[in-house]
Amino acid sequence: MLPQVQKILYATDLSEPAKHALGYALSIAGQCRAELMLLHVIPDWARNVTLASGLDFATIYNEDTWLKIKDDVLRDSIKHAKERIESAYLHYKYELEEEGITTSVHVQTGHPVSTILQFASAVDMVVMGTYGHSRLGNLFAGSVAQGVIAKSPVPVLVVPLEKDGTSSPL
Amino acid sequence: MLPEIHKILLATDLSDDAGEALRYAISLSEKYDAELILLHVLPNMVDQVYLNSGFDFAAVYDDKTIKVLLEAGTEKAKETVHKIMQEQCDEMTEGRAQCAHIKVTPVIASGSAVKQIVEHARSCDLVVMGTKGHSKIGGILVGSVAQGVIAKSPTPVLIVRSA
Repeated sequence: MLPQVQKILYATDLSEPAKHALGYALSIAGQCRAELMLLHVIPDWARNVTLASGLDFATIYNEDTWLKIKDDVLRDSIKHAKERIESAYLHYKYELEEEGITTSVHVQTGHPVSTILQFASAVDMVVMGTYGHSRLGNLFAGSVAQGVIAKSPVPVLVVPLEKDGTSSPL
Repeated sequence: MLPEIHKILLATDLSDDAGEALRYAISLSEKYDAELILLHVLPNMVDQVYLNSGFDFAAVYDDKTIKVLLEAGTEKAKETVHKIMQEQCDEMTEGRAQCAHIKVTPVIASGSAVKQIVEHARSCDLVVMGTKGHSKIGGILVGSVAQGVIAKSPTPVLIVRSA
């Protein structure tokens, strides 16, 4: 029995390579008549700021203010990310829907690799973009792609950004 | 414009791990009505013997003899690889009439696996390969050949973990 791809997860960090990979995700979804999930993971920015700069917001703001700021920022970034993903594939969304292929946009907060892997366990294929060797020398993909490839239970399509970095299909 | 896929390259070390990748490659070739290239890279025999045993052919034979030896070895290996590829394909497509229209081309190259796969990838639209393929070192999550190909391939690579 040959494997059938019925559900595809496209993981995006909203970068250029990710946009380039979107074309492949849409193409495979169309050809395999597979449901397409588009996922963006927002990292815990406050924690990253604390880790990187040592600045702890909790010492500057009182708890209520801090929670409010945090929630506001989070709400805004989720809304913004959703809009950006939707605008990137809007044209193809209708085309796929006409053929009865459903698509859905998910924006989650958390650790990118583990969140992507959680979603990956419910799909048949993951599609991700990376900077090709033109940008990062000999580095093996990005760290998120690397983490996903190493642990994904399903096949991962790694799409390098084309060499000249200009021809993005969308 | 969405990218088009007319030619799919399956890089195989003929292991079971690569067999799973082959299933995906056949499935996608069917969906896209794409030509399927099966690539197996043979290591350079003379180099391998030298690396493993320290026996240098060049010290014993002249260039012409080495070339004849290499070619004889490669010819025999190619026949065997062709047979294995054919068997694997037949096994997977058995009873599937719609497979008949996929054009399958076996290609056998020799040299560095990463270099050869990347070189062949340039003229294809999609590469499919297993994770552990080509290296038998246990415990490593992604084989060195797969890592090398992901890092250097200009063409998208579908990495398939064996079940």
